[in-house]
Parts: sequence; structure tokens; C-alpha cells
Amino acid sequence: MKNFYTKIIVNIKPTIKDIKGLTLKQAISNLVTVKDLKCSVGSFYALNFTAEDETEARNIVEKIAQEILSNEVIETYEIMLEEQKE
Amino acid sequence: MSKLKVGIITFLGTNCEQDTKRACEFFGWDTEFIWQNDKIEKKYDLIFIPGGFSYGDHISSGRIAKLSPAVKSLPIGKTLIVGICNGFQILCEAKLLPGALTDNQNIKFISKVSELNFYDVTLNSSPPLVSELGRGLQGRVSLMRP
Repeated sequence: MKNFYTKIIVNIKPTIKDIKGLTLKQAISNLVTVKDLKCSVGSFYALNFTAEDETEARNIVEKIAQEILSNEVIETYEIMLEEQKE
Repeated sequence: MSKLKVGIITFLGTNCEQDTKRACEFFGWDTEFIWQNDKIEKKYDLIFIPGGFSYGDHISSGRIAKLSPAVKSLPIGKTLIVGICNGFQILCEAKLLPGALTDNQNIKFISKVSELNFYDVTLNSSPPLVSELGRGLQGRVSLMRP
């Protein structure tokens, strides 16, 4: 068995208005002037787990990302997966 | 009409189950709670998923509740299932209703009276059951048929 570490970032799809991003942009504008500011707000998840190999690890993370961490109708996700050496 | 048997699913964070039960009992319906971790094995005429903040709305509203044994064992196509507020969110997350919920488009809280439309679904008990549900809403309910 191998140790794996994964980071998953979930974002709203580009076709959907990012209301949280717009709210953040408004709040930043009230604090400081920033030219050409664009904001995007998403979610970050980090997991540690063990698996036989990278294929199994990736399958596990994909399932978690698809079923729990994101809603495919309105969100996308990115996975960064790495094996942790002892 | 015979006494309806009603189940109300509750989760950690549900806060409207007592209101829902009280409303059902007002109509004389036989009502009981269904805990999130219990599979639905009894036969109900009607199942409510009430409002609140199941699992604290963590990850996203209804996202974790959709994975519960109670939701996964819902008798789809056999029983009328009503999702109220967070219950509606859970049904969307579970793909039992189409689409997904996003933030309000104008970054503001919206509080308006809305018309409620009931779509006739092909359940054997459907027309009388839907009429029962609409009885308390008077004038704000239209029964629509596909």
C-alpha cells in the first residue's frame, strides 16, 4: 500500500455567474483600489489516504470529487494527486 | 379519503420537522419521523423532506444528505415525495429533480410571494393527494397537467 496526498479545487463553471466572486470583488473595491480586478471563489479540499497504486488512488479521488465535492451541473474540479514517499 | 400515512425524513441540522409534522397532523394524517441513517422499508403515502440545514450545509446544501440511507432508499415513482426548502435542495443534489441551485443573480436576498404549481405526476393516488396538499394554499396553487 502507498500513501497519497491529494488537493481538489472546485470552481463554478465559467458559463455560470460567479456571485461569490462578484461579492468578493465588491468588498475588495471597498478596501483598496485594484486595477482590472477579477475574482473567482471556489473550494479547496485536501485528503490523505492509502491505496494500492496511483490508478486506484485516482479512481477514489475522482469518485469523491464527482459525488461529494462537486455538482457536475454547475461546478468543475481539478485534482492534484501525489504519492507521499516515507 | 382514508388517513394518509406520512414519513418525515430528519437529518442532523433539520429544524422544521416539528412544523411539518404539526401541519400533517392538522389534516389528520398519521405521521412519523424517519432518521437519516434508516433505510425506508415501510410503505408511506407521502414522504416529506423538511427544511433546515442538514449536515450544516457543509460542502453544499443537501450535498451530504443525498448520500444518506434514507434518501438513497426513497421509493421513487411509488410515493409522492415533497422537498421543502433544504428538502428541495436535497432532491436537486440527489438528481431526483432536474437542475442545480446557484446563488441569487443580483447578490441580494429575495423575498417574494410565488405561485406554486403542482405538476400532475403518474402516481395512482396523485390527483386526490395533490389536492390535499394544495388545500391549505388557496388560490396560490394551480394544478398543471403535462
